[in-house]
Amino acid sequence: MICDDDEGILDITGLLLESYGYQVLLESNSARLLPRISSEKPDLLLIDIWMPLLMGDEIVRILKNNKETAHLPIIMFSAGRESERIASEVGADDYIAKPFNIEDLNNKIVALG
Amino acid sequence: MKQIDENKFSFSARAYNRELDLLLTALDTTKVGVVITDCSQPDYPIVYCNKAFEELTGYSRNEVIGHNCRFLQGNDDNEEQKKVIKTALHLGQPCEIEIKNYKKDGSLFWNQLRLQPIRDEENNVTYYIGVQNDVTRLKLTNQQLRVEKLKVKKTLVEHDNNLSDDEGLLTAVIDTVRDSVLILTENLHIIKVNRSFLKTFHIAEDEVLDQHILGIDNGKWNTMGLQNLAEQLSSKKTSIKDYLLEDFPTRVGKKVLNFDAHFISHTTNANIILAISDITELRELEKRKDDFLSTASHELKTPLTAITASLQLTQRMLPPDASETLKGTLNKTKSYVDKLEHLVIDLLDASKIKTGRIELTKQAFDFDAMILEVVDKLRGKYHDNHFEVQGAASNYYIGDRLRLEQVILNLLTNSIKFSPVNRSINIHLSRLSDFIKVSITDYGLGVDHQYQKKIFDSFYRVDEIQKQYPGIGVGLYISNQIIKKHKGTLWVESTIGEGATFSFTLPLKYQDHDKENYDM
Repeated sequence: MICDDDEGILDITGLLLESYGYQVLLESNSARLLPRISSEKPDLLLIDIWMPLLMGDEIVRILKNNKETAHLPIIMFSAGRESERIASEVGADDYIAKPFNIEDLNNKIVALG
Repeated sequence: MKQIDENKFSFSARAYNRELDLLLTALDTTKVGVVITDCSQPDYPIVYCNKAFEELTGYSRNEVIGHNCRFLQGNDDNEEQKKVIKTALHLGQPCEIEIKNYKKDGSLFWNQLRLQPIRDEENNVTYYIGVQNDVTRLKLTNQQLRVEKLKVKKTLVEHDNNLSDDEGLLTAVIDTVRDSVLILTENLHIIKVNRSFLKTFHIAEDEVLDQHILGIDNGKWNTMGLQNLAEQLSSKKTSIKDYLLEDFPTRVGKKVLNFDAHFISHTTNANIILAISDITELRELEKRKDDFLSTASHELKTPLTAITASLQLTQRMLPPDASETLKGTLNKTKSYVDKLEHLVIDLLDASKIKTGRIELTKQAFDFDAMILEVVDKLRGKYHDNHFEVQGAASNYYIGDRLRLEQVILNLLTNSIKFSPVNRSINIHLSRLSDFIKVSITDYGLGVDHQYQKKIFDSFYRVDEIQKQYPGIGVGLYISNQIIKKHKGTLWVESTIGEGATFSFTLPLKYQDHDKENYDM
């Protein structure tokens, strides 16, 4: 599942990952993400940091502190400064900076899968 | 004393040899400057300097190791003396000359320089020892001294007559400066304040005169921070620079204040001049700039992310029978987007460095292997260039690998860019004492002497070059700052039209004693 408030990036990243054979779920509204995760149970979450309504780091903190979702592999991706530090502080499993190279992103997904 | 054999006299692995330590300590206690240059390395770099040399020239050891001694000569011709040195070095003979040299602060000194070669068992010159004596004073003739004496006498008489005028002048001077200035007794009682102080802190002069500094504003200034400063001033009786107090309570709200205290000793007593800079607004501006950088980074990179992702998607979805023109166009677009991405990153890096916010992520890595990797990457991209790597520096270094890769990549791409005809580029690695040195030599346009320092400034571009070659002039600035952050030095030596050698040195041991770097 991918969560990014920028719908252009969301769609293209989704298509890129589909071209690698993944089944992709998209969510642009971070406030709707948590209920969707508990109902649709994705295998991995790729999530942006700077989003209105609910910030990505807050979501990751919640997911990692919840027994049912703590095991969900999470990759954070962001164009912001100090994002890598934020990602590691909240317990994300990996991080990739935007703009990203799709092969690098795929390698990270494979490593977590 | 036992005879010290050549094997023991090495500057790397045997640094702990007791006899060597003893010798080095002896060298550090002498009053004459001593340097040792390694004749087995290109351009005879300095591998050792003693403390007296640092004091004499104003350059620290970190700034000297790896350089050729000629940096002391500034822009002077010194042709005659240079010839003597050149001949002596060529023949491997000793020599003694008096030469005009310059200290780090630009001041001239006459250097009585003695050069002595050291030979190995096969009679090859391996090192040169340079012994330096500052003989500037001796150069002054008796007549000059007499003239100076007379001048001083005259000034003293005038000074006596003008003492009262001087007080008026002093008041005018301290009233003109923008910082708040207080003149204190050594017991920290206020005897004079300037207008800026009264204006900045909304205090009347009679409220503070004869007051102890902690008593200002009915004791409101009696904060922990100022108590600490007062304690340091009373006990150490030395000048203090850049003592920062945040959230300092004043009548006009909390302020960020920077204190500089200067001690002036008289025959019987002493005064302290305390300058206070109100940097509250500056801090606010810095914060705003930082916020702007965060926003700019995010806002610029978001559309770039969409564009690069779209391009990658288009490339992946391209049918196998797509025309070569289409494939070529996509590749070109990708390379321009990459360039744009690097520009954005460079600009943000430069701004980050300007605000002092560049962070190093340190790790141990194989330095030489890193260089080879970067060179290999470039070999794959620039088929017309010939890269040659010689020597070895170190297979173990602790530093920010990615940032240092950025430096190497920047220096090499500069060499590639400015060498349109002869496309050979030499990369020379060496280890000098506890430093590593990298020199990148090209045979391109070269850098005129007058620009050799300025090119490391941000956004500086040499005029004629600007028109012909692309770039925004931040690469060398960023590289220089990264090397400085690693406590090293980066410099260029070049003759216009013949090419340029960009070199940098990095100390191997700075992390052992530099706490600041652990924290970064």
